[in-house]
Amino acid sequence: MKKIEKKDSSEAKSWRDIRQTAEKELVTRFALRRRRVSLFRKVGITLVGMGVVTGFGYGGYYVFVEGKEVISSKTSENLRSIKFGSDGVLDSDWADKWIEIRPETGMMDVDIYEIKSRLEKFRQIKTATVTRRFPDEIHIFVREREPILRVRTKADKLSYEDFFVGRDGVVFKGWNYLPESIDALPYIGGVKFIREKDGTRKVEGISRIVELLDVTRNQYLGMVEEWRVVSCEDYLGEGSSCRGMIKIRSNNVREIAFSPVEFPAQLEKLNRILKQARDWGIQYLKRVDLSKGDQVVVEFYSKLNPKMHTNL
Amino acid sequence: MTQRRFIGAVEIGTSKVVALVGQLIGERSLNIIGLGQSTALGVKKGEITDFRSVSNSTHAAISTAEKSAGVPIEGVYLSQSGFHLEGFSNRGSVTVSSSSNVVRAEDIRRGVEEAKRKALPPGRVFIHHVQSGFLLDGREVEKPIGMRGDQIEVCYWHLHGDEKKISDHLHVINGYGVPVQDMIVSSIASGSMIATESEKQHGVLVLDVGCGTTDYVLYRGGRILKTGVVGIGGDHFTNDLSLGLRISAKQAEKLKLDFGKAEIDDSDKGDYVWLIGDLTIGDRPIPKLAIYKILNARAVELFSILLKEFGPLLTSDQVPAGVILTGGGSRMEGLISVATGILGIAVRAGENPLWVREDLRKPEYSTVLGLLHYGLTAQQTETEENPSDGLMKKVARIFNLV
Repeated sequence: MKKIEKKDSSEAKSWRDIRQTAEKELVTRFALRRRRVSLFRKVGITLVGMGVVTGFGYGGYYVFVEGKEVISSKTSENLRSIKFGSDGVLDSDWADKWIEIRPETGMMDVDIYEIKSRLEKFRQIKTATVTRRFPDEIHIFVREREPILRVRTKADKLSYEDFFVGRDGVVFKGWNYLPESIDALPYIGGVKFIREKDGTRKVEGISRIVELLDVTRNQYLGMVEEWRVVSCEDYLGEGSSCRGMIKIRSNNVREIAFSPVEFPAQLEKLNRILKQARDWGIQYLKRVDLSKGDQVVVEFYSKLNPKMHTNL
Repeated sequence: MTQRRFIGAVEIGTSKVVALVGQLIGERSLNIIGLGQSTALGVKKGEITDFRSVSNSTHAAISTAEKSAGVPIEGVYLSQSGFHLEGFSNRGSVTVSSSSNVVRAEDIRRGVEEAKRKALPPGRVFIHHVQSGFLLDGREVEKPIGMRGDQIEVCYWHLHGDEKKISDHLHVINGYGVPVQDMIVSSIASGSMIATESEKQHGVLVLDVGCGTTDYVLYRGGRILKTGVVGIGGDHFTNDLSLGLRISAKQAEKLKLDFGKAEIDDSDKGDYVWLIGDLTIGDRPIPKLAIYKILNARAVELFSILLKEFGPLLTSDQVPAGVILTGGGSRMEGLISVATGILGIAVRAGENPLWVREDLRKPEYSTVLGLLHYGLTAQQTETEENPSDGLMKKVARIFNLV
């Protein structure tokens, strides 16, 4: 309460010169209650203020001094297990051999980006996702390339080596495929390989081949399972500029020649020809040329049945 | 962010203590957010006779007002009334200092100092210095700055009171733990609420008929010309009834409130009212005319004293806006017509402004409302002169360090 200093009561000129003060012995119960409430409020504000300051101080100490140790101690727990998953045929045995992380490595010492990069160098893997799961696990999930063709290359003068070709043309070494699943894959020949900056080897201009295989697989599954070799020797270009023919060797036809466009129509003609041949008791055909538009040329092996042209 | 402050207005009257809490919003508007009342004990004719009883009543009223407002008040505007209040007119006369005889602000300042220099008898303190106009070479002027003249006189109406009695009022409020920010004479507080600016400009007399006293303030030219106190109030009417009819003060008060009329009405001749009204032992019929005669006598005395007090100042030419009655005592029926008859000018009942909530529009609240209104004006001036407090000052205020 503001106290106005009084010079002398007899000389007071204004009522403001009268000293304003409360006499203790004349305080009423209402005034006492008010003082108590005011005191509690002040004490409360002081305590809250002290609590806030203490909280900030302790929080700051915890974060900047002890917090570092807590964080580092939490993350320095050692790796105990690697959980591996795939949408294909690769398994954790392969992962253990390929990833090569030492046991008891610290969790934060594991370079998950390096692991991802290393996994994707194995071209059977299209993409890899590597995450830490604290306190002590690494989770890996990979998406694999689907092999649709095989390619044989010379390993040395005397031996050959087989690789797989994915839908994107990437050539890769396969792991863990069941023999019965890969034996049905046709080989591809007459192609050019290109090498990308990251060392990936790819088959050039494969999109039409993939389309042919997909259409055939969708509509005539039994037919594509007979196909043994896909030859691109006479196939040129890609996209709208492609020309030439795609040649297929199957179990019962030595050479099927496709034009690189309009696959469904050609496949329908081929199917009818093969059916007709079976009806006639002809097991093997020498050549079926579907690349000439409406005209289909069929060559037979028997001398009794010379080369025939047929309009189908 | 809009600044909000809470101020209190307290009137310690003879019959009751009223406390209001107002919330100032951004120095421009005022909300009345709390009201507290209690029966005044230990006050006679506006003066404290029993300090402890008055403290209890006053603190109870302020406490109730704070509770209803939900906030503690930071300071109080206190009304002052009582017979000890006196006023006198004084002029501060100075010579115009500039060589070109043009009146400047410095001349006005010297004149104000001169006007306020009047010494008081021992034991007296000034309450108000009310500027009531300027005279430039003997003629009345509104704004003398820039005008030419030789002598400038600043006229003041000074209000002073007994230092001890004022000190008692201050200490009653201080005992609650709040300071008195300003003190306003009751009549000035009432007048500020009841009379319009136009009426103050033309000339009006405001009479606040309270319980113990009747306070008055005379306005003209927008300024206060005269204030004063007449020692007759509602209690005197009650006492007269008590003595005249040989009944208790309580019974007299009830009769006055239920049947009281200051005007003698012959049509009520032969009519009676029952003293108690429930036919208990001691109940008796009281002639209405007896009541009216007793009350009329006191009313005539009151207005006769006022007429004598004002003399030639109280004519329809001097006071064209007439007389306005306010205060609890003004509610007596017939008082206005008695006043009109005695004073010879138009008299009307005062009304509190419509922006005031309904329960506070009664005439007995005009003083305390005027205090709050005064507080608003004072806060506006203070804020213009002193910018808002910094953070440290606000924190210090929490702990009453400032």
